[in-house]
Amino acid sequence: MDGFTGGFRHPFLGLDHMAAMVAVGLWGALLGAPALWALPLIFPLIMALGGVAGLAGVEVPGIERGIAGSAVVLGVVVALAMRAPLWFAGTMVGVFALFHGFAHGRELPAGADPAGFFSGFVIATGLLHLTGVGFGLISRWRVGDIAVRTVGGAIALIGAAFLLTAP
Amino acid sequence: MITTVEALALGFVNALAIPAQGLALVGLALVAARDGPRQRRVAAIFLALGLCAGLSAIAAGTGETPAALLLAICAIASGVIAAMAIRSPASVVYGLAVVTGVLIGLDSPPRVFSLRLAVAILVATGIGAVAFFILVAEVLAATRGRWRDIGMRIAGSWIAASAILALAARTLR
Repeated sequence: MDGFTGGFRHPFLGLDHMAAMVAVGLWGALLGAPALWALPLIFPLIMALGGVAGLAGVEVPGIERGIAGSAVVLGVVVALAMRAPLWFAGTMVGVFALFHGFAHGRELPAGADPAGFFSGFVIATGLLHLTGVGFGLISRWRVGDIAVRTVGGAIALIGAAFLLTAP
Repeated sequence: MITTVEALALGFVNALAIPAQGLALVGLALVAARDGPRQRRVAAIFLALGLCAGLSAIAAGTGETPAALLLAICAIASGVIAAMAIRSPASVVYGLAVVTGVLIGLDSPPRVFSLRLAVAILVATGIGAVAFFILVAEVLAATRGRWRDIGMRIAGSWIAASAILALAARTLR
């Protein structure tokens, strides 16, 4: 269970990671079905492919900038309540998922059980998405819409702060 | 020195305590939940048969096997099937069930010195795995609605993603 709890904690160790994960759920909720469930479904799978590259030792420059950038972009689309076809939203989320997966794939602790670590990690990531979806559903009311878009703006600002300090 | 009751308890929760086995079992349950009650019963029987074979092989002294790796492949397959909401042919579900059972058995060597305790752990492992599968599959099959379908698809993607990463970690590191 050490691997599982370590993996579960992992997404919460980076505020930019967390913010981007919640933003995926928020945007899915704003776009409505099928994006509402398709984005949380697509993200983990593509993230896993990025993780494979990270585990394989592939060198990709600017990963931390990419992660911070994902928070900025996703935060902005939520703040603007931007509408997009599913193929576009899925592609954009998929590209960001590669960055996140790549970063996390490199961070498997030595000695940790891989299945435990990654199942904890994926579940935590998914729960962040679902948190975003759950909160995003309040956008059907006017006050809720303002609240969701404000959170999107906050996420964009968090991403921008990380972008300024990213290596 | 653990008691027989403790050995039985350890074996019963084995599939939950070993993430690779848990992923494969939940993935199988997600796939089976879309089938009718007869097909689910048959899948449980095939799982039990596979477990008997795998656990018997361990009892006969089979050494290290790549069972954990192959379990990840089973979990990926079932996770993708669940994520895509595919209703698989019965042969696929039954095949997945028996293979998952064999692999869980092979992945469960009891780490005790007493033969009595080892047998207790192996028997309880088989019972626990089948019980867990039946519980998850029947609960999912009993629920209905759009959100249940969405939840199953998302759970399938989580299982597949976790298993892809676990497989990559075992083979690339």
